[in-house]
Amino acid sequence: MESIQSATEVFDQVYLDLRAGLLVLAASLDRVDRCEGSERIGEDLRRERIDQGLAILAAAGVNRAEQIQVLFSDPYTPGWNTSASPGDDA
Amino acid sequence: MYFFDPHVHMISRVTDDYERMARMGCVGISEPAFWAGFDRGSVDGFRDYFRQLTEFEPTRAGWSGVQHYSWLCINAKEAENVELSREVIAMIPEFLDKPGVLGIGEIGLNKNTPNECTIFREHVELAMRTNELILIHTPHLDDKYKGTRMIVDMLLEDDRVDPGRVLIDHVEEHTVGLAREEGFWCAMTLYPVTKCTPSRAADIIEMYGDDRIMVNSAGDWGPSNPTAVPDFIMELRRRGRAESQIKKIVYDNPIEFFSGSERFEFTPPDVFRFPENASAGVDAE
Repeated sequence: MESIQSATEVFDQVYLDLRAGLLVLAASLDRVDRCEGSERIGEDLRRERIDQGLAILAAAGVNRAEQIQVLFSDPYTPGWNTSASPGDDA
Repeated sequence: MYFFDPHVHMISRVTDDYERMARMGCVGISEPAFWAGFDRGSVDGFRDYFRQLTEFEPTRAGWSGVQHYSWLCINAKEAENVELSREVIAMIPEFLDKPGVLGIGEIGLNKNTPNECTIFREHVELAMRTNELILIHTPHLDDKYKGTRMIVDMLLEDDRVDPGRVLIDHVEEHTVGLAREEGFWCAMTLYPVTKCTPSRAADIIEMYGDDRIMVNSAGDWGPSNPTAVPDFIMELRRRGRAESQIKKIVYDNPIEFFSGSERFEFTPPDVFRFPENASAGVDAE
């Protein structure tokens, strides 16, 4: 069930949403950086993840959303349930 | 367009929500057992909850002409109390012959802990023993990917589990493939901030197709929208989708999956008649 719209049609449809989304990102990061103690946020792993997410956005591809979801996910270890203690955290 | 909301916690919503949903085309809902916002203290608390799900909610839904179905379990958030969880699992069969009970759900993981895994497996054991459908909750945010994979791993441990009788819910871009590759049904939840938007759900349909997939609002006591499925319908219309394609996702697919339960008795809207006791004038106090 692929898209039945052309890229131009879709882009026309989402352009203002994209613009608005970028502004939300920019304004939110500005707000953090305006506050006292903003330099410490640079050491926060979550801030690092935001930067990594922005890098994913800037790259080419058709699965950016999936990549960002994985970026914000805990790691999984295959075979976790075949160990001696079933149910141990992966 | 007629639609089903296959996952909505109407016990947390007001009667006006049933009415609004019905006016927007909702003809049926299924309501999984879930967390009340606090940990319940006894098996009798759950017994009363199950009575409400299987007796009063179908009546209340009927006032607006909505057909109501339910799922029974103890939610993963309460699985850390293993003793209580086992008492609830032992009590569930008291309700499995009630009209409209579709199976065991929404079971799953929350923080992916060993106790949650233990109780998940015991719910699956009950479902296999009683030949019930299973509805699965997958975790939120950072826990979702790992938790969904752990759930799939545990389901594949058991040769008795037929993926065609299991619905894995709350899938997103990074977990929808996990569910579909193994032949499970799946659902996307249209939920503010923490799950799918109607637009992202439509994207996922475009990427993965419209077989064995549905959408729901998961409307509950938190910020949520019980009329989110119509928002999804509008999104697909804006993308030029035919009405028949949209209907498959919001109406045909839920009915096909629910039909795996012998207690799924559904009256199509073209022949449905309001129950004689249908009335919006029943005082709540």
